[in-house]
This record gives sequence, C-alpha cells and structure tokens, in this order.
Amino acid sequence: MRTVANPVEGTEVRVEPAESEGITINGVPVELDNAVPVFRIDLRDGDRRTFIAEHVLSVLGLSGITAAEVTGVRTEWDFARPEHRFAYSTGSDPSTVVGHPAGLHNPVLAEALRTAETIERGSEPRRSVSEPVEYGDGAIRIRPREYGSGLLINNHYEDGVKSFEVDPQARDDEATIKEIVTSTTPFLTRRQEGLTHWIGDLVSDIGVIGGFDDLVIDSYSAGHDDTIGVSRKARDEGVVVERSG
Amino acid sequence: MLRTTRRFALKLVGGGTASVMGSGVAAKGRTETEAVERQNQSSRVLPPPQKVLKDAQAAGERTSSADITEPAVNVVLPEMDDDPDVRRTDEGYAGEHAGQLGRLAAAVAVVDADVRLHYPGPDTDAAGPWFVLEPLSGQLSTVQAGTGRVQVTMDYREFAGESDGEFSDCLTEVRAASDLSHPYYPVDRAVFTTGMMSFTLSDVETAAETLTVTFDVSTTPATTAESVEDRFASLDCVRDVSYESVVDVARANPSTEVRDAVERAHRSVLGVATYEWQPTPTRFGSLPQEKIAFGLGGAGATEFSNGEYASCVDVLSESVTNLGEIE
Repeated sequence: MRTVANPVEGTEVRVEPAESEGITINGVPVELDNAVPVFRIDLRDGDRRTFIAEHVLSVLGLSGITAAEVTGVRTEWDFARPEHRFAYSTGSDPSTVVGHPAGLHNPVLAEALRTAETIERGSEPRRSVSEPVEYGDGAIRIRPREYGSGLLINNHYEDGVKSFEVDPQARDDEATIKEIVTSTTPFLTRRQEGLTHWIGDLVSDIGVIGGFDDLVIDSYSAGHDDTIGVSRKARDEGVVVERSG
Repeated sequence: MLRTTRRFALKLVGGGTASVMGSGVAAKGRTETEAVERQNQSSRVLPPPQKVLKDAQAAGERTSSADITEPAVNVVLPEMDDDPDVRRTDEGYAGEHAGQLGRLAAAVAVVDADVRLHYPGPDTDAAGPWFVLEPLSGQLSTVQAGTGRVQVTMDYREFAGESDGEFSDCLTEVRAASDLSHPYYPVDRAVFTTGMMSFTLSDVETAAETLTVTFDVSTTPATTAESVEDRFASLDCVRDVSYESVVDVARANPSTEVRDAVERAHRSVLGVATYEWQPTPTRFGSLPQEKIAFGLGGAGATEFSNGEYASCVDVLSESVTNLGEIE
C-alpha cells in the first residue's frame, strides 16, 4: 500500500495518511457496494453520503495512492450545483461534496501529490479478470491484461478512439496526469476534452473503486452506471483474479 | 400507531415488480388474492378522468370524516383546477393538467385504511407523515425554492438633456444585472438554473421623475436582501433598490425512517433515488415537517403516460409498505 506521509490539501478536500489499505471519503469506505452511480459517483454508507467521489479517486489512482483518509473541506453552498442541492435536501453539509467546482479531476490535489512524500508498506496483489466481461449492452468491456501492465483504456467515440495507459498502483507520468486532470467533465462541456475527462472517471470507477490494476478497458459512450456495473458483474461472476509478482 | 402492512411482491405482466399493501389491524384478513385483485384494479392504465375526480372526492370526504388523530400516511397534491383540461389517449392522459390528474389517479389507487388522501385540500392537523405528489420526474424533494420581489428605481432627471440612448443603456445595465451567471456552469442549459437566484421582469412603472422596474425573484437558502440589492445598487443610473422576501425557502426535515422508506421505493421501482428542489412554492411549504415530495411526470408536461402512472402507483405503494409500523 502507498499513503501520504503528511496531510495534503487539494480543492475541496484534504488527504490524510491511512494506517491500513483502502481509501475513505468523509468516513465512507471506497468500495463497490458503497458506490452510487448516477451522472457522477456518490458514496453512501447508511446515512453518510459523499458526492462526486470520482474527482478525488481519479487523482489518487493516477498518483498511485492506495490508502488515504479523505475529508471534504468546503464550507459554503453553491446551489447552482445539483449535488449541493441534493446534499442540502438530505440535511448534509457542503463538505460532503468533494467534486471539483469546475468539473475537473482536482489539478491542485494532483500537483500537491506530485511533490508529496509518500510511505509504502508491503505490496498488494494486482487484480485483473480471468475472462472478458461486458456490461450495458456493450457500452463497456473489460479484458484480462498481463500482470503489472496496468490499465489500457480505450475510449471509443464516433470519430475514433482515445487511449491512455495508467497504473492505479504507481505514479503515472506527469504529462498523462496533467492532461487528464485539466479536462472538464462532459457534463459541463461538449468539447473533445470531455473524452479525456472520462479517462479519469474510468481510473476512479474501475481502477480505484473496482480495485482493478491490470485490464484492457473499452468504453463506448459508457456512463458511471456501466463502469460500476461491469466491476460488480466481474465480482459477482467470480472472474476477478488476484496475482502477486 | 399506524400498523401497515404486509408486503406482497407481485410480478406484473409487462415487467416490473409492484408492491401492494396488505394490512395489519386495519384490514385484518386481507388476503394475497385480494391484494392481487387490488393491484389489477389499479391496473397499469390510467382510469377515465371523471372517475378519478369522483373517486378523489369520495376519498377526500372519507378523510374529512375520519379520526385524523390516528396516524396514517397522508397523501396530498398541489392545488388543482376544478375542471382540469385532460383527455384520455391510448398512451395515457393529454392536456394542460395531464400530470396533475395522473398523479391524483395514482394517489386514488393506493388509498386504503392506512393511507388517506387529502382532497381537495389538506387538514394539517392529521397525524402521520405526508407524501406530496409533485411533478418531479421521478426524483424526491424536501426543499422548495422561495420567492421575493425587488424594485429597482431609476431617476429620469439624471438623464435630463441626455440622449435616449443613454437611458436605454441604463435599462440594459439593469437587465444585465438580473441575468444568471456562474463561474463554471453554462447557465443556458436549464439543468443548472434550479438553485440559482433568478429574476423575472414582472412590472414596469413610470412616474413623473422615475421609472421603476420590478423583478420576481426565485430565492435559495443563500439569498439575502444584500445579495439581491447589491446587484443593482452599484449601477450609476440606479437611485434606489428595495427587496422583500415573499415566501421563504421551505426545507422539510423528515425522519430517517420516512426518508429511507421513500428512497428504497424509488431505487426499487426506478433504479435510482436522487433529490431535486421544487422550483416554486406550493402547499408543500405549509405542511408539517414530516413530509417528502415525489412523483412522476415533469413540470409543465402536457402528457402523462400509463407507464408514469404505473410507476407512480408503485413508488407510492412501496413507500407506504416500507414504512412498516410507525408511531
């Protein structure tokens, strides 16, 4: 596992060291059963909710952080944002919204983690699948990939495919991280950068929440319900494999 | 104590699972067969409009004559037109009030000893939680935006001897100050305007030396008189700004049990349970705090389908069933 040695601040969030493997956001463990996919990823554990988790988890995944306690730090409402209205409606406070206000994968956090001291303890097995898994009428497909090779993400769109290689257990190269974390969510832009933003979402949803390290991911206009759906399907069908080097 | 209800999960023709209320004390002896019949009666097709109105009237009269100190689930809708513009089609209802009547039909379909319909209006002394059927497109709501009014006065005398063009510029500035803006969100996409303080020009009044424009203001919990007035007060051509709140933002605080019951019903029937605000005040704001709004059909929609009706019945009946026993 790898965690930060000291607390790190990003936009809307603070990331603190964790003693054991795994990530929590506002006390909610990041795991498939707590993920609530809508047009974003919320986490829910009983009455505790947190909103737009993918904007933090993507950066942690791109930075190779596998253990952390994340807390929201926002204190003011922005009711133009649907997730703020949701939070207010459920009696939650603004700190439950950890997504970036401009719809980015938290570039400030990414930069802070770039220079942050980290601690590694032991090594974790790497996960893949034993056979391809499809979900959402083919909106997304995950395939096995060899040990240690990371995620090859192919985001297919009308005119072609945009591909990235990332490794949720290692720090990815700076150019890749920068390109992803400065791309606006397709929810707020109709420009091409939405395709790159979605790469970060896939790192969050399949790499961090799903817990996969070595896969080929083919996304065809998929949504968050598809990414969580395919991860759950792989688990439920018993095709997840853990491998150690 | 309200004693609901055994839950019977029925696989329906055409897909989907609906829960139907059986009953505890209030309707001992109800059998699963009766529950099936009941579901079939509510059917998956909207009833004739006149039948809905007649049944709603009868249900409302039963509520009026019942002991409202006995806890039950209270169902109410926004004020309705006495003579709704609705016609029945193969797909459901069509007309200006299609959604209103469709949701009323859903309410009528689930009324029983443990569920009372408040029609045409609510008796807010009634014990038990309140379910308010609103055009929420399948979302839940505990918050209703407020309203206010702001008057912006400009002084003609400032423009004495100036060209008409300069006064026109002043009006343009005032109008621009009322425009929506957000540092990140493209507010022309309507999804983002809910929850923003927004302005609608409602009146222009001229006097001997002044011109006053009035805007209706949709308010959020973050709206203050200062935040409204400051938009206009800094303009050189404006002499006076006056804001008054008309209806405060309403936020319900339903118990965890009520919230959870309705959320679970939404996840079961619609696959997701998300919250949105109601954009304008309705009678929701005047009901007791133990309340939550939901409902199929969108605001302003002139059609309400049989499918929306069936989902509305299912969400409502499952919410009641999920409540189980409540004090």
